[in-house]
Parts: sequence; C-alpha cells; structure tokens
Amino acid sequence: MERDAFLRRAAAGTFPDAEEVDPGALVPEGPAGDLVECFCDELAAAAGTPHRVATMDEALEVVLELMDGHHTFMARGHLPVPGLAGRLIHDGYHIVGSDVPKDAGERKRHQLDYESLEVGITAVDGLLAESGSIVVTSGRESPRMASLIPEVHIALATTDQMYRSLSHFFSERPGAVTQGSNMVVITGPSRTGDIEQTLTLGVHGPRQLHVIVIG
Amino acid sequence: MAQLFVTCLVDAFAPHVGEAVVHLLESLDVPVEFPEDQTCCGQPAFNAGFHHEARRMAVHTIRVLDETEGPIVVPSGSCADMIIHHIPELVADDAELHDAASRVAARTRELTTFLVDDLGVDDVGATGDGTCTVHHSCHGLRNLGVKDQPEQLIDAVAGLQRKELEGATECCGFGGLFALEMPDVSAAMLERKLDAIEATEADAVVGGDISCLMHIAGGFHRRGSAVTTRHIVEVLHP
Amino acid sequence: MTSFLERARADIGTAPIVAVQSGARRFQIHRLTAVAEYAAMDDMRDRARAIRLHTLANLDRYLSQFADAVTSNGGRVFFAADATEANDYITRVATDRGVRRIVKAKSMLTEEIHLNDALERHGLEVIETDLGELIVQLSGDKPSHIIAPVLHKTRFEVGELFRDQMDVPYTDDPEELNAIAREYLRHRFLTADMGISGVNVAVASTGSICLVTNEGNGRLSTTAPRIHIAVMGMERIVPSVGDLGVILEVLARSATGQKLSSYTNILTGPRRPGEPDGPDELHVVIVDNGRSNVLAGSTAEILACIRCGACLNACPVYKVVGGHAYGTTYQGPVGAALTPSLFDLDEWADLPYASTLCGACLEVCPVRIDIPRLLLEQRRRAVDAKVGPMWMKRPLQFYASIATHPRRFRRLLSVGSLFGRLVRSGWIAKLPWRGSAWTDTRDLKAPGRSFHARWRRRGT
Repeated sequence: MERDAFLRRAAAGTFPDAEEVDPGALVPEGPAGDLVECFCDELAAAAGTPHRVATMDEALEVVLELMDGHHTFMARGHLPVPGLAGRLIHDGYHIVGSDVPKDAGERKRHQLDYESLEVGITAVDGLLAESGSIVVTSGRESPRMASLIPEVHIALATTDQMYRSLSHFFSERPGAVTQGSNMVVITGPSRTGDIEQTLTLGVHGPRQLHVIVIG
Repeated sequence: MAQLFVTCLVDAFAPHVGEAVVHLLESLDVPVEFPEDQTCCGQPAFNAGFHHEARRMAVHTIRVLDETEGPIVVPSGSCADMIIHHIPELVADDAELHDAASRVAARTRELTTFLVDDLGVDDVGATGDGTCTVHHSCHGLRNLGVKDQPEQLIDAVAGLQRKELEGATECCGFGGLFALEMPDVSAAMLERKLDAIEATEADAVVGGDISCLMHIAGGFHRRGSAVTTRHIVEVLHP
Repeated sequence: MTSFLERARADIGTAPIVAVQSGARRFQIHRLTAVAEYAAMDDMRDRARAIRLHTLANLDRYLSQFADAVTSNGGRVFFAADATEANDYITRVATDRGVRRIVKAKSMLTEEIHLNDALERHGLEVIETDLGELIVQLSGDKPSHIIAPVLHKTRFEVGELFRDQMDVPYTDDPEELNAIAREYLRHRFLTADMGISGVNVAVASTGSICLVTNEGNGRLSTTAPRIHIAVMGMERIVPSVGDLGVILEVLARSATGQKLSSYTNILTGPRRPGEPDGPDELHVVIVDNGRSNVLAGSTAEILACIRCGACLNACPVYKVVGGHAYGTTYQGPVGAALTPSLFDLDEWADLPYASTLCGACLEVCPVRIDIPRLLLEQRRRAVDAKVGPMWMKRPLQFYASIATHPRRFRRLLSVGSLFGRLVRSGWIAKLPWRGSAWTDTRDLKAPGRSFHARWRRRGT
C-alpha cells in the first residue's frame, strides 16, 4: 500500500486518556552497594561465569586458561587486553576470519568456516549490574558472530564500564544504540525451556559465557 | 442506618444470608432498612453483553436506591462492583440518571469492607468451632480490593480456625452465565477449586459471594462431600 | 467452523493440557519472583502503559518517523495493507534476489499472515529456527502458547519426531535433543540466503528494531543471511530508546521472570561500511491486516499489548483449556480481546465469552490493559450484531421486564419458592433445557421462601 494511505489508517485511533507528549524513560534507583559484586552474582545466576581480575596480565592468564582444549577463535576489534590476538596466534591457536564477503556464494563459503569456530572473544560497551548483562555493539571491526556462533564467548570488560541497569545505560549512553548496526544485550548463555520446560543451555548461541572484569 | 441491597441470588436462593446480614448489623447498632422495590442490579445481562436489558434493570435499581439515604450494604462483591463501576457507565448518556447513579455508587459498600473499613470492626463477637478456609471471589478481590477484610473478620471469630487455601485467588469458574455458556470449562475450573478446598481438610469453605458459593456447594453436593459452604455473614452471626 | 467450546471439550483434562497448565503455572511463579525483586515494577508498568497509549494515539507520526529513519540507515520499508500484500512483497524480494533457503525466527505475525505457506508455494525452503517452532513445523502442529509454542508436547514426542524427521537416533534427553537441533540448524543458518524475523518493539526516532529471544536463533537468522526481512505489526513501536528501555524492563519479567532475556537484540539498518558481518539488506515490512480497524474501534487499547504471555499464564480458563481451544494465532485473554476486532466478529464472537471476567489478566499485564473491560465490550458488540449467545435474549428480556416491576418480581420469587418446596431433598439434580448445563456437573440448592417474603413476615 502507498505510504500516505497507510499512514492515514494509522491515524484512526483516539485515546482520550493518552498523554500529549511522549512520557519517555523512567530510570529507577537501581541496585545499591557494590555494583561489580552485584554484576558477578547476577551473571552467575543467569548461568554465566564471572571472572574478577585486577590487571590486564591476569586477564590474559584467564583467557589462556579458557582457551585450553580449544583450537580456533575469533577476536577482532579493540580489545581491552592489548596484543591478545597476537599472543593466541603465537601460542598456536587458529584465528578465524570475521570479514564476510558481499558476494552471495562467497559469503556462504566463508561462513561455513564458522562451523569449526570454538571461542569468540569480544570487548563490551557496558556491564549492567542489575541483570548481570553485557552490552556488545557491532561496529567497525567488531563482528556480531564472535559473541554468537562459538560455543564459548569470552567478554573482556573493565570496571569503569559498569552501569546500574539497562535503563541507566540507555539514559547515560543515548548514542550507543545507533553507533553500529547492531547492539545486543547479552544475559547469560543461550538457552531454551521449550522441551518440557527443562532448561538447556547453548541452543544456537554460546553455551558458555565468560565475562572477565578487569579493575 | 444502612440500606440493604440483598441481591437477587441471595433473595431467591440464600435468604438466610440476607437475614443474617440484618441481624449482624443490628447487633452492631446499625439499623437496617430494606427498600422493598429492589430487584436485580442487572449484572447477568450486562456481563453477557445484553446492555439494553441490563440498562433497564440498572435504571430501576438506581431509582429505588437513590430515594434512600445512608450506606448501601451489599453482601456480594460482584453486585457491589456492578453498582459502583458499571451502572454509572451504563447510564452515562443521561445526565440526570448518571448523577443519580454516581450518588448511589458512592454510597455502596460490599459487606466486609463496610464492617472493617467503615465501622472499624473486625471482631463482631461471634464464636464458632472447627476449621474453615476462605475463597476470595474475583470481582470483590480485584475490583474492590476485598481480601484482608474477610480474613480479619474470620480470624476474630473465637474457636474457629482458618486454614490457607492454595489458589485462594483463583477463579472458581462460576462467571455468571459463563457457567451455562461454557459448562465444560466451568466444570473443569470448579474441579480445581473443590480439590484445593478438600486438600485443606477444612470443615467449611467461606466466601463473600453467593454466586461462587452456589457453584461450589453444588459441586460438593454432587461429590457427596462433607465440606460445608458458608457465606461469611453466616459465620459472623450464625 | 468449530466453536471454542467444542475445541475446549476435546482438550480439557488431556495430557497435553495438563502439561500446558503446569508450564503456565511455572511462568506465573517465576513472574511473581521477578516482580517481588523489582521495586520499580509498578511504576514501570504505569509508564509502559502511558508510553504505549501515547504512541497509539500518534501512530501515524511515529510510523512516518520510523520509516524515514530506516531508510536513512540504508534499510527499505514496505507498507503492507494486508497479509497478501506482505506475503507478495516478501516473496518478490526472495525470488528477485535468487533466494532459495530461508531461516525464520519466531514471529506470531508471520503465522497470522500464513507467510510460510506463501513462500513454500513459490518453491522456497522455509526453516523455523526457534526450537519450539521447529518442533511445531516438523510435526505439522500448531503452537499452544504465544511464547512457549510446545508446552503441550512431551520429550518423548520430540524424540520420536527428531528421529523420524531428522534421521537421528532416538533420544528423549532434553540436552541431547537440544544438541541435535543445534547441529541440524547450524549449517542451515550459515547457508541461508534470507532471514525473516518479527519485531518485538520498533523505535521511531532511530529506525531501530528490537528482537527479544533466549536461544540465539533470532540473532543468527538476522546476522548470517545476506538479506534480513523484519515483519512488524504496525502497532509495535515506541517513540524513543528511553521508551524502549521501559518496555524491556517489564517484558521479560512479565513473560518468564527473567530480568532480561538472553539476547535483547537491537538492529539499526543493515551492515554498515567497515562492519565485518551482518546482512547487507534490511527490509522492514509494516503490516496492518486488520489492526487499523481495531485502532479505529472501541477495543483499540488491546493494541498496546507487548506479547509477553503473562495474561495466558494467569488465566484460569486458559489453564484448563490450553492454547489450541482458541483456534487462532492469538490465544488466552489477549487473543479473546483482539481476535473479534482483528478478524471477523461473527466467526470469533464466542472467544470473549471464554472468560469469567475474573481480572487475573489485568492484574499481571505489564501495560495494564483492561482486558476484562475489552471482553465486555466485545460481548456487547457481538450481541448488537446478533452473533452473541442470542438464546439468552428472550430469557433476559423476560427477566428484565420482571425485574423492573417490583410486584412481578416478588411474584416470581414466590413461584420459585413454590417449586423449590416440591424438591424433597432441597437439592435439584436435573434441570431441563439450558439448565442442564448447570446440573450436568453440579446440583442446585432449591429456592426457599425468599428474603422479600421473610422481610414482609418480619414486619418493619
């Protein structure tokens, strides 16, 4: 249907009790106390695995431990731990390319490589204390697939990226949503309860979510 | 002084409940008048979508009650809800009737809220024995906030022990003409309620709406159950 | 066409319905826990309602703003008046772009418009990727709950289904079934040409669409294929990101008791230059299909619904009949309030009567939709159009003429008590005609001397 005709249909509603102006966000108090502790508790409750470390070096150690037993990884973009990708390659891990070609056939061929991708490593744009969530945006050099395809997702964050809740994040970082074509708020590993309400993890997304909080 | 709106179901099927309301209020020094021309608030027709018929009964009810004074006490959450929330809407097209309906609505009180919230009484001096459990009728519960009042009143009855009912706030399945229009569904919901009541092992189930209680009592009687079904006013002034 | 009651009769008491009931109860309990832990819930619900009503009152403005923003982000917008227009557009895009394989994330709207059928008629392969929807698709069944499609199925049934349809050894262990589905779908995701999703909430000011899932299939369907088509109900929109936040805070808590689902995915346009992955084309198909009729009518408030399913979980009727009894895409209280306005009133006039108006739905609705009031309004519409339970008309007319004349009323009461006295035991076990609907399962206490008569006896 032609746009104007459709929009005329959309103008048909009358709501005498509706507010004249967009009521907008309501940002509640949010959790009190130690936000990092709250974040870690909530992440664990959502079946994720928090790791608290003080330094970049300790963070690197955790990553190396988590990589043990795996062979392939995807890591691109500006990670808080400098030289991480290089170190992993040096240690013999195979890095899977994340640049997806535009051509239809080449795209599929490239993506078939992802079937062997075991670990994805990303930075975050924010940590949400109330729900134990991480905010991951795609953008230049940040592939969506890194936090989506592999069985293991390792997210690297610093304590100064903490926000009280999603509402607080939206309020304090209004531009974050549109800085890339994709922003995803991740709360624990992938899951379903569709079969007899039995919770199983790692349906299509990662089965393990590790968040290394540095600082 | 209070006006009693006895409700058509109590009038026809549980008149002793109406009598108990009168005795109870008089024992609390509240003289009771009964406007004899009252009939039915129109709720069954209204709920079934028959506004025309409902409006006729609503108008009659407004006229009868508007000629009286004082609080209008109703031993039914659903009928009180009808008078308070729906009758004014039904006559919104007529300014004079709407004013009368609003006056009547403002004076209308479900029985237990009248006792506890208005008179400030939760111990009416009743005594009892055995055990009971409370079923919270939906309209009173959700539309009039009737929940604590019946429990407080029963807890103050010396000798009577109240047990918690699992799913106390879940609908019993009466729903007015729903019981006739969707009988299998109504019966399935009733089964759940009867099972839950029996599971408490209480001697009696008590509630504030004869509509639910007729449905529950009818089910228990069919089952041959020993559980008795009581309107709360019967427990407060047996 | 069958009636609600006929469909309900077939399902009441059966094992699948018992499963649906226990599933719904579990959601109910989880919701209560989440709400108890979230001090801001009541305020957020008030705000969510205000946002949704404001938006619906200005829907044309926000849809216009949204469409412009999507376009400036590099996406395409198509306005579909009805199912046919939507399906035709999507099919055309698919055939023009040489699409063969399509992966789908869960979308009730695409079920409503029968999109899969239209695509398959054109020789396209459509694969449902939400685990519950995949099970529904492979078994040729229908969902029994709007957010948990296979509450009614056992793991044994799923095991047999996978063995038969996917050529794998039988297992009924949910973890293993899960792994089978993951394996089956992974390759298909990565080689699909097109991904189709719904839209949980669109944001007008940024042209973003938000998808809320737990499995990751929503993300994979909208990341791996080169084309993403998002099918959106015209009412599923809010003005700004801040508004989106309010909706998100109440949505998962109300649906499953989670604070947020595993993936709250916000998409703003297709892949941008410099981005490594994501679809290169994004089409948003905005669908009317009867919604503007609802909007213009007396039940418009139902369009505020954010599809959380809490009303289903709270509804005592839904819990004894399950989802299939409603016979249509939208089930439970929201379905009963919406369907007779969205589609034909005479086909669906019985749905609003599948309720005792207990109010449990209103109690849990995150946007505080007054569903009982809407059901009453649908009943009024049905009666006015003479497609309601018209057998009640004569008896109610009769009753009204009695109840508006006090002496007639008192006479009716005495007649009743006369009959009542004929019943020795004081209980009636059998009533004729419609009355048998009562006495089939319940007894009726016989009327005695009415209160009116006793009051007169008493003197004043």
